[in-house]
Amino acid sequence: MADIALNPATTVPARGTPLIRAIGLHKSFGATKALRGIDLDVNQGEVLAVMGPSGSGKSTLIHCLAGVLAPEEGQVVIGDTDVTALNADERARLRLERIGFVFQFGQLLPDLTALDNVALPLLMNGVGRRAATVRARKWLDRLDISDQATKVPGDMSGGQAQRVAIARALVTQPSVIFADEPTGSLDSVAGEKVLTAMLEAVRESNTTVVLITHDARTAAYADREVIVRDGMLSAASRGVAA
Amino acid sequence: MKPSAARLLLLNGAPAYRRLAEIVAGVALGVGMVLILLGGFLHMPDRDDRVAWRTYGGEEFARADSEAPLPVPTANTVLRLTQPDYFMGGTYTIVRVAAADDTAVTLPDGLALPAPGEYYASPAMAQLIEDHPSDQLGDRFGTPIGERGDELLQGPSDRVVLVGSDWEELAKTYPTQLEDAFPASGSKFNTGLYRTVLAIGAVAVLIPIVLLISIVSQLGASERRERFATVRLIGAGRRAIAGVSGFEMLIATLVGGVLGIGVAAAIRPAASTLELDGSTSFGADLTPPALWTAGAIIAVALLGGATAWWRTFRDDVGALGSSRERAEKKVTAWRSVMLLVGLAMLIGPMIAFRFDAAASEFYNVLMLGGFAITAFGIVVAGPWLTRLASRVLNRFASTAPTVVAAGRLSRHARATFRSVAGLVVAVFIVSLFAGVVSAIEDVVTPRDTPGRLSMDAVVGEVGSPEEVHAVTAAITELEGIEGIAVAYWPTDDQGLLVMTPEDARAIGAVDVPDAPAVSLDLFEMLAGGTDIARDPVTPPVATNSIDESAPSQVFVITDGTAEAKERARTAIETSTVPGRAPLTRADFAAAGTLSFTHELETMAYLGMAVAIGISALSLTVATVAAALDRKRTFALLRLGGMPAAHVRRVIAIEASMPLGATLAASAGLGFFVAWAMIETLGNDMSMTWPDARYWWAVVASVAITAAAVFGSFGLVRRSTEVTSTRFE
Repeated sequence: MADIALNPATTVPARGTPLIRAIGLHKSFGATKALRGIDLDVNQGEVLAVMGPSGSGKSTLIHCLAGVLAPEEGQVVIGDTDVTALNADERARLRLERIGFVFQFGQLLPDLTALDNVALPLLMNGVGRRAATVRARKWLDRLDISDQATKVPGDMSGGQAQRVAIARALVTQPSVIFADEPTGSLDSVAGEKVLTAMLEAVRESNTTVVLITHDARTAAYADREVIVRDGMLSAASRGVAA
Repeated sequence: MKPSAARLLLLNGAPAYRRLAEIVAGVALGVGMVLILLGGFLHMPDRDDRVAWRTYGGEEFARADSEAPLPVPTANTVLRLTQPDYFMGGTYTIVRVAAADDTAVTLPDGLALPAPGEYYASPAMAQLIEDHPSDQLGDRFGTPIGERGDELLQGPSDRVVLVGSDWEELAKTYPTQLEDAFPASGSKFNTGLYRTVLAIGAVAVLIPIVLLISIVSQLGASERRERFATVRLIGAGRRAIAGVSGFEMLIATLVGGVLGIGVAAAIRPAASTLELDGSTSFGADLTPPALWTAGAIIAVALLGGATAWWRTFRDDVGALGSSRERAEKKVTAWRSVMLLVGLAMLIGPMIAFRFDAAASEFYNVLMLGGFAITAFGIVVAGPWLTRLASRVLNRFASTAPTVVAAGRLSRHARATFRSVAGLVVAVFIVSLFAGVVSAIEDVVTPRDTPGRLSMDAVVGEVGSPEEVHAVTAAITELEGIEGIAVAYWPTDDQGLLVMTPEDARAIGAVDVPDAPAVSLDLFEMLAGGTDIARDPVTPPVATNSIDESAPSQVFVITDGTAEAKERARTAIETSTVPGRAPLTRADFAAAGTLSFTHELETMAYLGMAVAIGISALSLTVATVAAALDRKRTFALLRLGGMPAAHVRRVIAIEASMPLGATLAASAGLGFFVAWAMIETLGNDMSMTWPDARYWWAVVASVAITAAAVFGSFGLVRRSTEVTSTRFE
């Protein structure tokens, strides 16, 4: 079947109101066109899986959605904020206040304890140390890793470190979380546990998740999945009327 | 490893060139300093040899007041009298020579000796004479007949006058020596000390160079972690990777070493202006021979290569890279034991001295040992102290940058301290030295004190009533002269000089009894350069009579201006036979310990300046390496919204906290040790504030570090751009 570019916003019934709206995104790196006119809506509280082969443009897509990269054409709106109209500092502020990130290897600061790693985004947001520590401890509790609070990442297992990373992403109670292969470095059992913990937490707080993954089993946890090929959304996306 | 593979490892674009440029710059600076110090060390004997003609040799002969006959002039003999003289707070050397008209003796440079009433001056001395009125200086010597060449001087600032004298007059003067030729070589008593200091300085400069190389190697490993891991993955061994890194550093340090010759040439004019053993240096005296230069460069290059090899070998990047941070071995409080022992060895004698001052020899040994152990103790305890300070910082941290920095410092206390260790030791020693010098200066700097010789008086030796009359006549018309007083040899066997009570009061004596004459201890009144300066002065004692036919000293009382004192000195010198130069109390103190102390102090400050420069560079490189180690994490934090300013603050805190803490701790310890030594061994000395140079050195260390850290911000910002995470 030939890939067909779709506009899920017009073909998928919205479960909630759209939180993220991407319209006609184009992004190139030199002669390589990474995104070629992507339209995408992600609803409030929705878990969206973005799949696709390497080099298809998945990461570029979420970088544009999160305001890390500025598209050459098109518009990204998060809530009522036009991300593409913001300058770099304003986009950084938006990410700090409304967006959380989870990466494949956790990317915790190796010299900080789990507690300090989780408290860090709050400190960056101007929250006092004591209050930040209390909130960070709550999130460690919630993700069932409070016993790791005083350990540094090097002394934890991969799964424990990834839970700390999830706690760090959620501690500021962001509107949306972008998770880039969050279980990619874990074995299947650990990966499943981490994913379940993350989804439980985000569903409780009605947080939107955009999840990049190669793994169909991981994608199956999402409410909806889209497939990116050659910088466009593919017709094979689940939950999408072709 | 094949050259093509090595090239792939070595040249990773701009970072590699920047890193190599840093190491080349650091090594060039260090080698430049080493070459200057090495040149000074090697040429100290040459400096001595050039002044041997006026310093050594000669035969003592019996004086006129004994029964022995005076030597008679012959074609093969010459009389020489070398003495220090004073001018405007400084000293110069006056060499008086007398020879037969047909003398065959020449100076080492082949020139004929000056005739009586004529003189040669060194260029610096000639300039000094030209710059001042003749009644203050020039009239002391006679008629100028030219300048002496460099081959007879210690250095460019060497101030020496060679004065032709009358044979008979000079023969009667103590301690004139009889020569049959001027010695061409010899070694001064303090040359060994200076050479030791220079050698220690040269070796000390190598320590921060090695630290710099070690840290830059670490930076290189951080920058090329992926490359190293890839090459390990395809089969390269640990030694092969270390070999490549060692070879790279060998070449870089070799290039830096060669450039160091240029650095040495650039800084040599400035280095030449520093006084060493009383004189500045000729450029050639700070230039090592070619063979030594080559040897020093090769030695530094081998040291650099070996250090980089060892550092990379220990870093051991595996085939899978370093996905996990390798924590340092935890530092514990045991590391403070040596420091505590050292401090106990200093404090113990300080307390014991209050109960039993007699065992001071034992206290000396104990305190010197305590000093050495404390110095080592600081280096051993440094990482533990750094960890302690960072934990305190973490405890009170309330912002993200402070928490991140404190976490890093706490977990990498050894590496952090390593980058400032050289500076810590330098600051400790310089602070100790500054403290001790402040106490010495406090004692030896003469002040107008009741009972001591008036600071306005110039005292000179006289041998006859005619000379007293001549001095009186000479000063009559001079500006700024307020009076004259005379001291006479005693008529009894007490040994103290005798004066009229009026004259005694005029020169500063107090509690002078009303009597026909009084005897007083002139040396006690003059002393300003020894421990007895603080002892009370013995008041003059009444005595019966004065033998006016036996004057000993003449005191010219001035209005206190430097010009008037020099006019008085010139008047005394030109009215009396050559003898010990007329002097003031300030001159007496300067001739004692002050000038030598200041020279050592200057060298200590220079050492500190070098340590500061290289430590600042090391600290910056270490900080950047630490930032690059966490490049991915920082970049992803920035992606998550962390402002670039927070990353800059992290870098600034990581660099400034250890420097600030260690500067404060080592300076505090240095002053404490100085205080302990002075309290125990200082014979009522007391420490005062160090002079301005110390504070300038501290300010410079902070400024250089700040500049270096600010300079690194650009690199850190670029390497943590959010777009750099595109392939994460």
